[in-house]
Amino acid sequence: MQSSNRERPARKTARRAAACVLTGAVLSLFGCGAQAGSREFRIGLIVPKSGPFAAYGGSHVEGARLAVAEANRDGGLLLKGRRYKVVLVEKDGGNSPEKALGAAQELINREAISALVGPILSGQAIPVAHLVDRAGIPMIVQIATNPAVTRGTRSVFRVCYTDDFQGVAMARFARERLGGRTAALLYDVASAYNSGVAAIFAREFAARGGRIVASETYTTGAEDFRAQLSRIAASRPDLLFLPNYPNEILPQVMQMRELGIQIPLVGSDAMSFSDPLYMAAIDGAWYGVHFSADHPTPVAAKFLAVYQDAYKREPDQGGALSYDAVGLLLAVARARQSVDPQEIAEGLRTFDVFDGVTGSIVFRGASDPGKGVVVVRMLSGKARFQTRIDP
Amino acid sequence: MRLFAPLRDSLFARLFRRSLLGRIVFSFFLLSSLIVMFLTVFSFWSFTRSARRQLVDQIGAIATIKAETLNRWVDEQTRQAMSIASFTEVRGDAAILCDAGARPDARMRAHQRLQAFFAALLLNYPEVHAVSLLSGEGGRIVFSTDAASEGQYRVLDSEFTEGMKRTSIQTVHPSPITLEPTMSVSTPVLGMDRATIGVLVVSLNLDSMDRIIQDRTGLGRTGEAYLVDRYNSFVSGARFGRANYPRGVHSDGIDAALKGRNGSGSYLNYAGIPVIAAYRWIAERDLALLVEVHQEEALRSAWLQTLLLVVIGFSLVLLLAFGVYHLARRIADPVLAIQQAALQVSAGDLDATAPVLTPDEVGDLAGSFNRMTVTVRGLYEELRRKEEHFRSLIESSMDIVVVLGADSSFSFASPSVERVLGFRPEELRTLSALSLVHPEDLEKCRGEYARLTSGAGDSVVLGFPVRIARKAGGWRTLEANARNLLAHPAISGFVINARDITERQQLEDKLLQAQKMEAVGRLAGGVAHDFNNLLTVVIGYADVLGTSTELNREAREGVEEISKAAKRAAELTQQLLAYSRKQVLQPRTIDLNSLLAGMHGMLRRLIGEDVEILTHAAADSKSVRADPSQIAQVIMNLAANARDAMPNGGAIVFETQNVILDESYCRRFPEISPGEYMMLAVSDTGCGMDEETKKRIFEPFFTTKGIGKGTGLGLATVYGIVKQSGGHIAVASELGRGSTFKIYLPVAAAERVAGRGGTADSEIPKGVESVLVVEDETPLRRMICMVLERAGYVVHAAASSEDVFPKAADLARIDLLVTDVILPGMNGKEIAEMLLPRHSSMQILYISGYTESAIGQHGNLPEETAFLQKPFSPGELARKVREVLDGR
Repeated sequence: MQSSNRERPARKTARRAAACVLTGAVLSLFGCGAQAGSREFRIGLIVPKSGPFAAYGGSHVEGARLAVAEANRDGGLLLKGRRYKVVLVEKDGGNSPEKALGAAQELINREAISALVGPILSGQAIPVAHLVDRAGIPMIVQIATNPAVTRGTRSVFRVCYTDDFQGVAMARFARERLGGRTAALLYDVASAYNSGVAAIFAREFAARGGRIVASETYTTGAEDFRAQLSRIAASRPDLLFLPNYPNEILPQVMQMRELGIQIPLVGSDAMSFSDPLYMAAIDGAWYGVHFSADHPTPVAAKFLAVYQDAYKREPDQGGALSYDAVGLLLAVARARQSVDPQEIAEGLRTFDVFDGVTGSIVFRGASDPGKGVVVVRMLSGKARFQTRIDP
Repeated sequence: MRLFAPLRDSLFARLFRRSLLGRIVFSFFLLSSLIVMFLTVFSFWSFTRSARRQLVDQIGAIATIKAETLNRWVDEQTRQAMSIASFTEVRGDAAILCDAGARPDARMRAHQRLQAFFAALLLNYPEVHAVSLLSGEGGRIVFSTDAASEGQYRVLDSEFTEGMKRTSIQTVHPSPITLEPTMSVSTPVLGMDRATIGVLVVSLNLDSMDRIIQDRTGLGRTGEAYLVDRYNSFVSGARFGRANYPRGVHSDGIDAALKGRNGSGSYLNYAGIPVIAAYRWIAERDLALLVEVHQEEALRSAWLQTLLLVVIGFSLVLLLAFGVYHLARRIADPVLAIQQAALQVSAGDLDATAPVLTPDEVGDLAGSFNRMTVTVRGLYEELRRKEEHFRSLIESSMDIVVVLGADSSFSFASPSVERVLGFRPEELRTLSALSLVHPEDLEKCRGEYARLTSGAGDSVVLGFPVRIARKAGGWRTLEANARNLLAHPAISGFVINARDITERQQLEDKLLQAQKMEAVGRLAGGVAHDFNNLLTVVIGYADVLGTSTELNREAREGVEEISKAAKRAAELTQQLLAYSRKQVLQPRTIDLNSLLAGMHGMLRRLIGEDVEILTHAAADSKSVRADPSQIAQVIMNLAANARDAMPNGGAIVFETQNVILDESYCRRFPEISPGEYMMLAVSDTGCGMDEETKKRIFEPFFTTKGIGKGTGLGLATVYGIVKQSGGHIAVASELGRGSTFKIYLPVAAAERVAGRGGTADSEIPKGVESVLVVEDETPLRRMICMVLERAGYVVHAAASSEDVFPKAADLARIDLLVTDVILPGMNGKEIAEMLLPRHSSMQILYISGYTESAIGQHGNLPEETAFLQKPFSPGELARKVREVLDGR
């Protein structure tokens, strides 16, 4: 944490120097220089640990911790001949932007992080990205896919694809692989993610000759979707695109069954959620993910084994993305032989390709990497690999 | 004075150590400075402490007031927002806008009414920054004074989620939209059915809040107050550039406040500036309030007071130092005066006195010091006198006193050394004593030196004669006494006391010579007396025999030979007598020039043809009194001697000169007295003589000529004659350069010059007078009687005074008394005096082989006295008798 601690140690040093002068101690230089003792690479992680998205946070924490544990296994990062212990500082981002901003402020101002991973919600990631960018701290967005997250920033990067590509990919899949000619949409208009993906899907689906026959919305926290679902059913679409979160999808699907509506479901990456009841509810649905345990690459296979060993279950995409996000930071720190935030940010700006467990993450100078969308289908409680759509 | 160790050699340190006054003043200065410094430090500590306390109290009060003001302000804004939300027209329009099913035109009118209402409100309430109305459905912004934000969904924002429940205050936080610090009051908007239909969000103008916080009343020039949120971020972006603090702001006060503590302290603020601060945690607003004043300003008055104290304090120190200096001067001056006197005394001025300036102990000290110097002066004077006494003893000593080092160098020499040797004492310092010793004495000296240093005996050498070189050349004989005092610490050398005995030695030598000559002369004289008697008899009878016609020729020749040999013997005897000065002189007043002139022919014959004779006669020649025949003898002997020195020819120079011998000359020759002398010099150009020869030439029987060539009496005779004549002889000679004999004869008082008397007639004169012969030596008496009888005289003979008077009484007439001078009983002169009264016409002829005081001093007979030197021939006797009888 040599440089990530830049502000606070500097201030402490100044204070101690003043103390040295005041007391006239000759050993002040020794005393002042002694604080460089513990070297750490502090990485902040903002995930929801409370609120409606708390369930999502767990796998991200697991993935990130696994990456950190692996890095520390040999005594930490070896940079310029010195060992740096990698420290993961986790903060609850809750579900409000204010909460995430508070967490980010705390990590930056008080936890002296060198880099940040998260938050996972685009609604939080957008203001946090700007706050972090202003402080010059590198930030890896592991799963917030809204294009606005990295827009106008210099030190914010993503290891996932964006909604721009996800919406396009899923529209393509729905139109070309599923052969849908008409589609209906139901999404949270108050949520940046939901409305963003929905808009892109609709545009792309239409562009590929499809027709959006219904576009129903609701606002965050809504619980009754029957009216919207009834209108959708009335429009007789070939498929229903639900770019929503599982806590919304579950009541929506349940209410569809209640109403006897049977329309094939297509979802975005938010649809993925490891809950038996939920998975049963969305059985048969196609949705895009960031990672699939089927057909793993060697890197992914190794990750699967390690993860399985550590947590006794298969990793989901959150765990894999957070693992990659931390892995990317470690790789850049190694490449730059520094834990200085500026150095790491600069390293990310010039980073080429990261061979992550979620696939090759190709930056080539961009904040958002080119990365394929893995399309899976939930069948009998298991997400089965369908195809991979690359940009 | 360990303190001054590094300064030990500095000028300051030396002054400090040397000067009593300086030490006192400096010590006082140092001490008082330390006190002032201590007071200054204490005062500074005290001043700052009280200034700090006062300030802490002050800013603590300010902080409390600001916190309360802030709370009151927020409460006011809250009430304001609530009252706005409760306005009927707002609620009515809000209900329309929040109703998703409302007609668009109704919505538009409601929107326009709200717009007009809030525009007016914003004008009257500058504390309100913006007002938004969020629909209860999805938090959609259905109205906002910031039109750009309308249509957004803020469903997850706490403004909405909290505002839907109750009136709540979103304390200062970064706006999720603009990231700018934001504070808002959100309150539910109730529809006409009193159900919550939306949320009215009133964003407060933080500038107004900033004004409250930043009001610097009571904070001085550098004071500032600010708010920090729970994440260490400045909440007011207006004043603090956030970009300058990307990691937030940190300080002891901020950290303490964020932990919920209220308090105060001195620390470095977020910018590293030392401040005195009060901090408050305003829990209701989740904010930390910091009130800080720069220490520099806060403590300025303390600094100034301390500075003033320092100035006053050190002024007083200087004043004190000045006072101490004068006080110390008053105390130290008498001491310094004593020190000055002591310095003078130690520099040799024993007359210095210390002034008694005070009646105290220092005065006593000065008095004691003065008494001490008086004592010392007396002792010193005594010492000096003694030293001078002994020194003058040494220096005025005629003897030489020197001290030699172990290496024989001079470490001391008395001034007398210059008088004796010509060396100044200091010149000797560079010389070795041994280098001055005569080479012949060197070994002897070394021996004595070894004996001195060996330690054998008493390390004393006494009466050691040694010849020492004079500076001008030549040698002086010194008699030295030496003592080894090498071990004596004051001397550490050999002390030598030497006396110049050169003259004494010479005199001794001469005396010895004279004694020797005297002895020889006495011996010779004694022998000659008897010899003369015998020879007179021999010659007399030989002459008588020689004239006898009865002898044949052969016998006559033999008698002649006897006569010749006897005459030669007589000559020798004569010379011996002359040398021993026992011969009878018949001094006349003579002129040496005339004498020399008369002898020219004779000298010419004597010297021969090979040698040139030169004569330099003095023009102012004066007469001398001497026996002319003896002086002639002297001249002959010297000429013969000169001739013999020039076997290959050369020149003899006879020179006469009128000289005056002065005292100094005579001192060297004690037998002569100063006065006018005639000098007769005989010089030759012969082989000369060496020193050894020159010393001995006047000894009888000393000769350099071969055996049989000389008698060794020639120069001895000369010497004897000159001496007997009251003269002086000097010889100068150099080998190969010839010799000069100078004879000095005293000038005669009167000018009665006589020529040489006597003839050498071969005919024996005859007479008829009555002659009385007195001679104790029978053969001689009979010979005399025979000669005189044969010459016709009536001869009466007597052997001694006992004989003569009876015989004389029988005689009627005695024409001539021929008497030996020395006789048993009465001498010849006494006999003559006895007889003269009766025989008043009686002539007297003395005969003698040598003279005694009986006749005349130094054997000199009065001029009128007739005398015949033994031995004589019958002819000489007859002629002398005739001469005396004839009265010539």
